Amino acid sequence: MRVLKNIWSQFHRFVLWALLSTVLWAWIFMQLTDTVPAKKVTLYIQAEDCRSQELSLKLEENKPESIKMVKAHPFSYAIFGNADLLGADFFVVRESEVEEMLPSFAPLDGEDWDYGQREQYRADGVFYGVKLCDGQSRGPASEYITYDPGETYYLFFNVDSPHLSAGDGAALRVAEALLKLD
Amino acid sequence: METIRNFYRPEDLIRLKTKMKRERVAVMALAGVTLALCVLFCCLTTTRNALRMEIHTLIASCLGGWLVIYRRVFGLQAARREEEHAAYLLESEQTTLRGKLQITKERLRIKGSIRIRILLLDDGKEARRLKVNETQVRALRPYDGKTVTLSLAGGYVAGIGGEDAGT
Repeated sequence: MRVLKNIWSQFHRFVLWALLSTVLWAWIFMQLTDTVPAKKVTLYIQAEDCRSQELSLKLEENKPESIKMVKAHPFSYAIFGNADLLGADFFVVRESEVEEMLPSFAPLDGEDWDYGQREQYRADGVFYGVKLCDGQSRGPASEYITYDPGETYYLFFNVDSPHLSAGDGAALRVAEALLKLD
Repeated sequence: METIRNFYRPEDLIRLKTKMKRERVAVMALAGVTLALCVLFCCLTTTRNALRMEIHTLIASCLGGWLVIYRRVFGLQAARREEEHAAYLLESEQTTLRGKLQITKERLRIKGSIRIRILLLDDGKEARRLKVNETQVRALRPYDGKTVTLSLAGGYVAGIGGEDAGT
């Protein structure tokens, strides 16, 4: 009884410690499990559901040597601001969003990477990305990504990515690995 | 002459100092173990087990932190206050007062100091309000309502002398 009374008298301290502890360790673990943009390839996926951690691990199995990590995130991960989203290396997006986001996408040279027989997305004759799936077909990595039924999805690269052909090309290699995940 | 039994003797002060040191070591050991556990979990973290390790770290940090808070407030700080109070009483000049003792339910708490209980000592002319360390109230309980001699030091009751207080 006395112990309970003592605990109750310090309840505010216990709650404060729990909150501080949560924020502190969340931040430390974010630092531990992350690295600088030059050492990672980041992928943002605009899908209904995404097993992002498993997908990251799968893509890391064949990652280029120049990078340390592959990070896959759903778009909802960037809920507190689009700075992270704009820092991604490539995107899986719905067709309905493509026009709005087009200025963020990098024009591609089809010979830089192997996208198989996939249909190209072109705007004003410029090659920007490839179609992943539509309402009838099954998209790549569907074990990890739940594509919205009836939606058409495309893959695009960020125009500001340091991992395109002008850089180390790591984003292109990771994208190739994603396209091969059936 | 009536024997006064003081609540604190010089050997009690040594005992309280030792208790305070023991409490300090216990708090530091608890904090050290908690931190070591958290660092261990961090070192064992890989991309695959990151979430599990974060949860383990969080649980260790929360529980360890709560134990440290509890032990610091109710162990170390309580021992330090008691030791400071005992040292203050032993250093202060002692006087005695005689009268009918009444233990009230009135409590005082000065931030950073001991808990105080208010006593009334009626010498037939006036009822004086006296302060005593609440942990000593148990020793005064048998004399509630009786005529006793109280030893005062630094404004606090430091000891008691009654019919059988010295035995």
